[in-house]
Amino acid sequence: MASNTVQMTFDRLVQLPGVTGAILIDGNGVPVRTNLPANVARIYADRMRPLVILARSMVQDLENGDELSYVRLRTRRQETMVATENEHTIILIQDNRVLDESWRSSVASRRASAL
Amino acid sequence: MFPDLPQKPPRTLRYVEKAFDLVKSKKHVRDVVILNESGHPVMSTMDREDAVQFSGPFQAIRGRLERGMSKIDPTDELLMLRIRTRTNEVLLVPDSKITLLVVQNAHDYFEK
Repeated sequence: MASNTVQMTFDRLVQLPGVTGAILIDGNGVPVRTNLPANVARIYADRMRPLVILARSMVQDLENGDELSYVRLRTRRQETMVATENEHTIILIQDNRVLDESWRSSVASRRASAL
Repeated sequence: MFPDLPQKPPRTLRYVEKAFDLVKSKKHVRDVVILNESGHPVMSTMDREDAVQFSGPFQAIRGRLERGMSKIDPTDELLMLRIRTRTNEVLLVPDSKITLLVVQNAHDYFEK
């Protein structure tokens, strides 16, 4: 059941605007679902895993009781989101420009509805 | 602030002070720390000891991140790192010779 929920979440995330890649990783660090080539997914999984582990321990050091939700890295080319929940990790790679546009339109529509 | 912009202003003290005040005045922002090239806090809303202790782990995670990124795409460059917890959100922005650390309340802009 939990695994099905993760799969459904993954399917929804892949349809977000600007998503150029998505990887679902199980508790052993193995990519189980992805729309990227297998070797690319493996590289991302291997590189992002220590980052998440480090971020999680850092969060616990800085403030007891708090929990890591996700890590986002914005680079010149793309934005990578690494979300971790229970044992699964989802890596989402998004295009910067599309992401910025959807954020701007979201802000604009919020302002319009406030009037 | 982002390298995509056509002209980058030099990181003078005036620039640093202006950036500090600008970020600090934003809604939801609780703490701002600005580090120099060596990783020492030069400007902070926390007191010095707290700022030093706070920025240490972020330098470590940034180093880890940049090593990871160089494997994925050596030509790419980190612009911003965002670490979100249940209640807090921390942003790390490398900016030429300085690094900005911002702590703010977690807030989802896409909520309806």
